[in-house]
Amino acid sequence: MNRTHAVRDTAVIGIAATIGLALGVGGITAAYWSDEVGFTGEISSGYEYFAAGRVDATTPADSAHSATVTIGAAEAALLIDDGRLAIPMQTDSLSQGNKGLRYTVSPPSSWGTGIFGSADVAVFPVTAAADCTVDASVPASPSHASTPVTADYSTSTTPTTEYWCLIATLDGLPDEGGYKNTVTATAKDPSQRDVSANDTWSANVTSALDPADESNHVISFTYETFRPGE
Amino acid sequence: MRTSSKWRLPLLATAALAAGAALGGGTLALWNGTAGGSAATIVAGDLAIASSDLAWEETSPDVASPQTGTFLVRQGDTAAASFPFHTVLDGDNLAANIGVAWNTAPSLPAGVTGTYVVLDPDENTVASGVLGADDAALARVTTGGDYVLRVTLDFAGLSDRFGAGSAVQTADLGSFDVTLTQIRSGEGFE
Repeated sequence: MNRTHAVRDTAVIGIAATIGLALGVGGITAAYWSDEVGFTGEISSGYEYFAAGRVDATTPADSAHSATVTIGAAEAALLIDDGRLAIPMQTDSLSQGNKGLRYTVSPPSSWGTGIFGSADVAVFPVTAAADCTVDASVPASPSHASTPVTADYSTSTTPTTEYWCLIATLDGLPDEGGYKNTVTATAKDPSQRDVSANDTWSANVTSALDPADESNHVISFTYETFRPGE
Repeated sequence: MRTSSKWRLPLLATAALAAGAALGGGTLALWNGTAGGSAATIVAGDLAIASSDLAWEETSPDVASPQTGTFLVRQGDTAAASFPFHTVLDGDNLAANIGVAWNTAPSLPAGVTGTYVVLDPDENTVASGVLGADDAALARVTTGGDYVLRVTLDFAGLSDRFGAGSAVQTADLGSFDVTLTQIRSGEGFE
C-alpha cells in the first residue's frame, strides 16, 4: 500500500466513524421520550344586586349598601288634604352563588315637629303593592328586616321583589283649633232696673304648619350578604 | 484467509460506522425493547400521557351541597379544578418526570390565591407547586397510571360584584402542558 492509499483509507475510516458517532448521539437524543398534554381552565364570579324605592321606580344601592326613599313636602301636602296617606315601596334583591342577601328598613328615628311629626306613621311589610292602602291594618310590632335571598346556591338573574308600606294618619295638628268667647254686660236702665246683654264670637285657629316647610324624611334600606351558616 | 484488498476499506469503514453508532447510541436498549423467549422477540416500550376532561368542584367548607361543573364563585368560596391525566411507562428500566409548563400565565382576580398538587393513582400527593411556575421535574414516576393535577383556589379576598353589568371576575388558570419526560437518573440509574 502506498502513501496515497493510506491517507485515503484513513480519511474514509475517520469519516465513517464520525458519521457513526453522530448517528449514535442522535440516537441518544431520540431515546429520551417525552409526551405532553395541554390544559386550560377558568371559573367566574357571580354578583349581587339590591335596589329600593317607590314601586317600579327603585334605585340601586350605593357603595354603602343603602338605598333610600324620601318623604317630604309633596307627601305632607297630601296628608294635610286627606288626613291619611299610604305609600307603597319596593325592594329588589339578588345574590348569586353561595351568598344570601338580607336587609333592614330604617324609618327616621324622629319624624320631626312638622306635619308627619304630628301624624301616626308606621312602616311595615306587605305582600303586594296593592295591599298598601290607608285602610291596611298595621301590625302591632312590624319587623323591619327581611332575608329575600338565602345562601343556597343560585344562578338567578331575576331579583326577588318585596313590598313595604308607609301609612300616616293625621288626627289634627298641634296648633290647630277654635276659640269661642261670650261677653255679658249688665247695667241699670233709666228706671233703675237691672238689664243685661250678651254676645258671642268665635274664631277658627288654623295651623301655622305649612306642608311646603316639611323637611325630608329618609327611609333607608340597607343590605348585606352572608355565607351559609352566617 | 486473506481478505481481498478490494473489500478491506469498505469493511473497515463499516466497522468504524458501527462502532461510532454503538458508542453514541448505547442507551437505546434502555427503553426500547426487551428480549424474551427463545424466539428472541423484540418488544417496543412506550411512554405516553393522555388527558381527560377538566372537572371543577366547589370545596367551600360551609356549603352543604357543593357544586360541580361550571358554577359561580363568590367571596369566601374555595374551589378545586382537577386535571386528570394518564401516564404510560411500558418498558424495563424506565423512569420519567412529570412536569408542568405554562404557555399562558394564569390570571387570578385580586384576593384570590391558588396552588396545585399532583396526586398519584392512590391519591397520594406526589408534588406541589405554584401556579404559573414551570417545573419540569415535579415528580419522578416509574409506573404508569391515572394521575391528577389538582388546582385549589381560595376566594377569601374576592370583592363582591354589584349588578349584572359589573365586570366579571374570572380566575383564569392559563394554558399549560403537563409533560412526561424520560429520565435516566435516580434509583436504578446510578
